[in-house]
Amino acid sequence: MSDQPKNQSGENRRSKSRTDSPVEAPSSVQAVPSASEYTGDDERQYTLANRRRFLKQAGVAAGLAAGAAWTSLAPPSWPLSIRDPDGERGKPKKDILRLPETGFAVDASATAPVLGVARGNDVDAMVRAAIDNIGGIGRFIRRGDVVVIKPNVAFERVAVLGATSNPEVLQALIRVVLSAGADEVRVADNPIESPEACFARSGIRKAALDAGARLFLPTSGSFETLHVPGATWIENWPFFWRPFRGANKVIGIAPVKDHNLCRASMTTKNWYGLLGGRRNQFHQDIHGIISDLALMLRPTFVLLDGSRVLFRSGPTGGSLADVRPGQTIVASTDTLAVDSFGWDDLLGRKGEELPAYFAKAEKRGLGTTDWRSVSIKETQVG
Amino acid sequence: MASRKQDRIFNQTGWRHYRRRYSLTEVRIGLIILLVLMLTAVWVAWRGANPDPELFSVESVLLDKGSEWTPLEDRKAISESLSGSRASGSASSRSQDRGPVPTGLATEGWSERPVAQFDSDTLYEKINGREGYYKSFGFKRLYYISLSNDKDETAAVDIEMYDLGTVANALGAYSGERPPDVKPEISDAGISHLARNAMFIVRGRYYVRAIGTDETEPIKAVLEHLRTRFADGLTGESLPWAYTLFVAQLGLDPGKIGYAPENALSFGFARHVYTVELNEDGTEYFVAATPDEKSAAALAEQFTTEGFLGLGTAAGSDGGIDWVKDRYLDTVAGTTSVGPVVVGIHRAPDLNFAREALDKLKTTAVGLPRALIERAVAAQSESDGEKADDYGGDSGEKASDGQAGEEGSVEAEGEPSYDDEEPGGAGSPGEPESGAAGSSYDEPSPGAEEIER
Amino acid sequence: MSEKKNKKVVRLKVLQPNRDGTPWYARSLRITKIRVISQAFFFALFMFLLWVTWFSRLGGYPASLFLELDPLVGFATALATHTIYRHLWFGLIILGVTLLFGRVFCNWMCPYGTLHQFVGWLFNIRGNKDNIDKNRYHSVYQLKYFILAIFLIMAAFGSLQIGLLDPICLLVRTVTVTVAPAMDLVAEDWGLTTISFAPGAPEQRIFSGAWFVGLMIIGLVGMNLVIPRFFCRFLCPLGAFLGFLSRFALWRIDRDVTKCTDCDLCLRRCEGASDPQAALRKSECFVCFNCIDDCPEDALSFRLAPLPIKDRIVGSIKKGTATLFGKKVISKVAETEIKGPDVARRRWVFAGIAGVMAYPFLRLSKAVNNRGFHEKAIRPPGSVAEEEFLERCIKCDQCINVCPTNVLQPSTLAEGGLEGLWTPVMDFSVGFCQLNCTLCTEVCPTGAIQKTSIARKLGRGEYEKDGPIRVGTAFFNRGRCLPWSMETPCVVCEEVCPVSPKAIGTYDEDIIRWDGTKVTLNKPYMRPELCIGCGICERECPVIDDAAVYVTAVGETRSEDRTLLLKSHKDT
Repeated sequence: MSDQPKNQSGENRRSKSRTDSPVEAPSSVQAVPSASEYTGDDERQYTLANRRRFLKQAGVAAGLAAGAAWTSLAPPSWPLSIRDPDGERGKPKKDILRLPETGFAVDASATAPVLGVARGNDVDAMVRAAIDNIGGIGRFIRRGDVVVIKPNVAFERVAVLGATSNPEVLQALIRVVLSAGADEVRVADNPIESPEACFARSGIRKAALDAGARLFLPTSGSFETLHVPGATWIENWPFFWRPFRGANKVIGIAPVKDHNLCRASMTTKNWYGLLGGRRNQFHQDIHGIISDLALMLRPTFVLLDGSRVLFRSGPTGGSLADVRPGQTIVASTDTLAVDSFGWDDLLGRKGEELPAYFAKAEKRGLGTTDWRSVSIKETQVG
Repeated sequence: MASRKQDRIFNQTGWRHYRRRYSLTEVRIGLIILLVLMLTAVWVAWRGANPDPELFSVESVLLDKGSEWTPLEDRKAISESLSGSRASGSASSRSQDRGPVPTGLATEGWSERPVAQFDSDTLYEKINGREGYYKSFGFKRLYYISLSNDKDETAAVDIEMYDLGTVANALGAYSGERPPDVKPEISDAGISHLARNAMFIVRGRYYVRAIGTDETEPIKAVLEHLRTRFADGLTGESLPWAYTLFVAQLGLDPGKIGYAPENALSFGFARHVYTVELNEDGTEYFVAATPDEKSAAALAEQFTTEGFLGLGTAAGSDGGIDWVKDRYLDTVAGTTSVGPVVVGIHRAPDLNFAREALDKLKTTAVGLPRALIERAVAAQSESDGEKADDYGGDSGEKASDGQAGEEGSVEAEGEPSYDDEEPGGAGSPGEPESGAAGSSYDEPSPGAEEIER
Repeated sequence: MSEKKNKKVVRLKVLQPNRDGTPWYARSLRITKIRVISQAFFFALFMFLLWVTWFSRLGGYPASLFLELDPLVGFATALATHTIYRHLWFGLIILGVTLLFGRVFCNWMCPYGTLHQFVGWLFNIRGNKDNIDKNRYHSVYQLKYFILAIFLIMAAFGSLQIGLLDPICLLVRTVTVTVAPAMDLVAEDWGLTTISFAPGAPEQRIFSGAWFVGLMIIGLVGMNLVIPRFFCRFLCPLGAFLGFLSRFALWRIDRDVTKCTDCDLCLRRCEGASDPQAALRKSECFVCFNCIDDCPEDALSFRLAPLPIKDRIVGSIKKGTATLFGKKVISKVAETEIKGPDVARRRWVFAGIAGVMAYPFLRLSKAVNNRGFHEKAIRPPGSVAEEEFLERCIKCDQCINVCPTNVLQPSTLAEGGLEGLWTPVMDFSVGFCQLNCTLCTEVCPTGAIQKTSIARKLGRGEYEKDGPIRVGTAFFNRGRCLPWSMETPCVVCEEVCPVSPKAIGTYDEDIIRWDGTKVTLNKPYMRPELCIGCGICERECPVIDDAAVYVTAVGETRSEDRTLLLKSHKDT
């Protein structure tokens, strides 16, 4: 700080030298000679110069004042006006998005069965067989499609613990979809636990990337408000929108899991992972939420991955003792039917009453909760 | 010129320096330093590409535990032990294991909630405060089911089904909770009664209480339905010997029979004692089965000397019976033995009444089949063996044998009822269609097969 | 005018030989340029290592390399614990370099020094004369030696505080807590995951007390505009430590008194304020070689064990008759070296007393003892017991940087007092401890969080008998719990509980609500033997401001004195 006076003296020195210099334009106040140095003609010149300076300054001041007045007083509809008389204009505006009216479903087929069941041990063959049983991949995926695949990667568990989708099944599905000519396959989920860790630990990351899919992990900017007409709770709710930008087909692939609250988590509950926001409030009416989920997303088709069944301690599991091999993969265009099949056949709860969300969703016309009443085709492979 | 320079936003001197001589040695040293930096970068990159395999792998940890699937039998055992140690809350025990609870409990318009199970460690969660009562009757397990009306949300029936190990315990718990004025229906295999908004039934080792929210007709209908479902769905067991004695032979009211597995008549030594009330005054017969004549006589002696004489004074004796007059109540008590059976009377209004009544009991008890008593004694020592480890070695072993047999039979009884669901569930809506469509599907799937194996 | 001409000439002459006849690269690759490259390299390496300190990038990178190279960290933890943890022997490299060449670290490697130098250079508006004045040694620069002495004495007592000011710890902490999240904000806006420090984090990371750490760096870096290398000259305990060592250095800057004209231009850019124009203060010299760069007389050089020349000068300097080995002495200053730190012994005594007093002052604060410790002082899994933790933790916050869920937070004064300031604690309102994650144990350079395998954390495999590591215990606040007090179904906590069997159970109850509807309430309760304190229940609890289920530190397995259940003593 001690160098302040020195600096000033330096400044003085320099300004003197500047006045000496004939090249310098008199652009600043300092450059205007002081009045006492002039007489006569000089005085006229001085007055002129002074007037010019006054007009210039007055013009700038008037311009600034007029500009400020325009922007703050002109009616809101006028250009450049930022007037906000009632405070409404200043509120943040959310873009509200909608999914396609009919969902992502393809046209119903009169001949193809609703449920395609494949039993066996060879995951690749089972995936193919299950899809073939409901009309083949060609019925659903066209050349150039952009397909979102939604696995369940909710928890940071290795695949054998059955809390997440089986990566081998996912990989088989991606290959099948790509072989049908899809342009791009996107794998997306919004897990409960740390996304990086969940995708890595469950093996989904590797499986998806190896098979040639693109991975979408949720970030704070990935969500947009989605409007779900007629939903009870999630009529406007943050939705994991980024992977859906430009996508035209959606496939769900869900493990078969016991669930502490809604009793069974399968293909319908799987859409939970597409929502963001305060999901921890969903438990206050979980059945209502799940039936909303069924309303929100009508997929192209879903795959119920019964290669492993987490038959208790769901949805997190955590012990091999909670898991048993199911040796079954089911494809379907009806999430309720396939879930009710899973309830009876894979969770082995035939005879027990279905969780309440089934009935709620059926009431909305979103599917059939009695799989015995729909057409079904079963194949034994491997 | 100088001013522009002075007002530059960033550094004004740049690389300016004042040295006049440069040196090639410096360059050489500099190149060596750059080489070291490059080596450092290579080392860092190499380290990065070779992570510690332990850091990200969890598989090895899990597979250490058992690289194969846990065998299904083991899993079943684990699941049983888990569902035991867990409260109802965990979904697993709540939703899949019905235990021996009969199916089809709900009638049209009613629906059944999942069966919740509680063992002696978790019983308090369900019936905090009352658990001591059931534990005194050899509590094994509580199955809790709730029926709710589909239309009327406030109407419900809560069913508590207690597994108390033996029929004697079940009857004991039942009789302890039975109001004095009811007349239970009795059959050779069970006993039950309907109250205003409740149904109680004892069937084999199970004691079932069903309490409705009100006394309306629909609830009563459900209770009636429950009575038949439990009567049919649970395997009955013949009633204990004392019922034969009191009801079949003496024609007494089964509603007045009580049973105390221990601490009977407030005597610490008295166990497995049946009582039946004779009149309004509270005069009671009491009987107990012992292994042989000698121990019966000793026990009868104990009743007199350690029991009644502690509360009263001797009032003469005849026919080998020492009568005791109660100091406070002015009533008469007497005990004797008939073969292996101890019989007695207490709270009799006077000596004559007591003498006559006991005489009647004695002569009737003579007629009891010996085998019946032996079975009863075996059952008693078995349930004692569970409670006290220091019980005689011989009987203890016998007890554990009996225990195992008992468990086994329950298992056998529980399993089929689980599999029987199909016919049992006929009442549930939407079933009729399933017959045809489902039949083709009834062959066990590979998964299901494995579970059964 | 003349400068403009000069510039043109220089530009044309880039590839021309120098005036002294050496080729052009002798100028372009002179030692100060090499130094700048080295500084840029180490700064980039430092930032790169912090950038890879993240779940998806970590691989096998030596993420805490700089902290391990820092000899003060190694020395101070050795004082406190009598051991050298894992890679802390790396400090020997810097130690060796310092004993050979002096404080090379400060101006060639230290990323914080680089930052200060760069900012000071970039925003410098002073002319030569002012610069020369600013770079003269001042006796207040000895402050750093007192700081070092106090810290080391406290370390010997078992309270490691070097991390408060150690430049590497300070910069790692600053980047972690302020720079990295700021970068993530930008990355999110631009959609660039490559520059993000936490790609795949579902939410912007936040850190308690970030404002203060941010203020600190702005203040300390900003001070360079007033006093160049303010932090390095005044405060840096690592600089003091290396300065103390560098008195033994074999090489140093030497001034040829027969050439030196006392023009003082060597001070123009002297980073350490080490008086190269007179008697070089070896302990202050950063070995930046700027003085050599600026000496028009070629009087300065970097030499192996130069002779002290004062006694060899013949004649009188004042009279101008002095000669050295027959050459005329031009400089008026005969002395060429001052070895050690210029600190009077009496002041060392004061610093020593201050250090001895500081320990009880800190340790007798309530927060760090087994009585009265803060319930939210929840240490990451693998941490050693609190007393040892304070002997080891250097507050570098690498663990906080690597934590994928943002649960690890720098402790504020509330949780650890001044002694525990910026040490890692878990805040479950922000994140939760990921079950299969032990990254914090991997990056901790000092073993405050011991390297822990996942098997050990979960108590699996060979650790079956030890059981899992517990960091605390969850409790229910029934008054705020939806099923317990508001007739509203919930049990998120039970659903997310990751242990098997679950540590949260429920009492199920069917009730008629106030509005006549019938609901099943699953009222949760804890099974304390199973709870590991991971806090996901607290994180996911919908009562977000003051969760109805919350974890506190009691029951942690790292301490015998902070257990909860009788059972926890069974195996010991």
